[in-house]
Amino acid sequence: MAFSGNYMCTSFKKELMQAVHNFNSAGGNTFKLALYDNSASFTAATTAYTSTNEVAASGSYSAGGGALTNVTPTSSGTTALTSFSNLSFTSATITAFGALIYNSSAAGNPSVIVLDFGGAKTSTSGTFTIIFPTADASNAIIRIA
Amino acid sequence: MFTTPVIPEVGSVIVETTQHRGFTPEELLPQAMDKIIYVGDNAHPIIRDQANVFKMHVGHIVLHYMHEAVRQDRATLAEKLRALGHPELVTLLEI
Repeated sequence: MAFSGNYMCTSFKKELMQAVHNFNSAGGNTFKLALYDNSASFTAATTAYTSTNEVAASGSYSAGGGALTNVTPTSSGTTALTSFSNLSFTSATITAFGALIYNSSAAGNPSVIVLDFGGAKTSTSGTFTIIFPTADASNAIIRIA
Repeated sequence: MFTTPVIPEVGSVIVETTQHRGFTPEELLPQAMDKIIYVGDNAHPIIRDQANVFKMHVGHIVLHYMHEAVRQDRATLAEKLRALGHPELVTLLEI
């Protein structure tokens, strides 16, 4: 199995209507990004964080992944959007093929989105950085148009 | 009857890595500048050119202070190493 693209989890869309998630930078939930090897097979049907196929702890990366810094949701035209600050793991030896962003504040660690890196990304005793796109209506990491 | 589809969309991330070191200020600069100033592809050419020149000027200033932050942090580390009785380790910091 392998990553097969970026997905917004279907369960997340439902949970938006149930007020499970709060992306505000102040007082919002804690969202985490966990890294996975090529055996992970996440899709839109993924519902929660799992440690199965997660990369091993190394440097500043530990099980469960790193906490993201929320960017308070905004809108542009008719599109609502939110994003996160870039995330780095230092002194880390990691090979990852993709990631899962999930809400670690909510019961059951519900998943938000699946990210496919498009191939193996490797750091060796170095820094592994995930750079989020520009937070606008065309590029933001999470958009509802 | 009008029907307006609501389309949830997911953007794409970029992953950058290093081997046996961290990022240099020069490597971090584009990440910082993309957060500070975003010039849209569809901007009018005159406005886009002015914005890119302004972005370049701001980039020079940001880069200078990134280097200065590294230099100052290493100076602080050097003093801590000396205070702990390890002056020989200061040479590793290449101040």
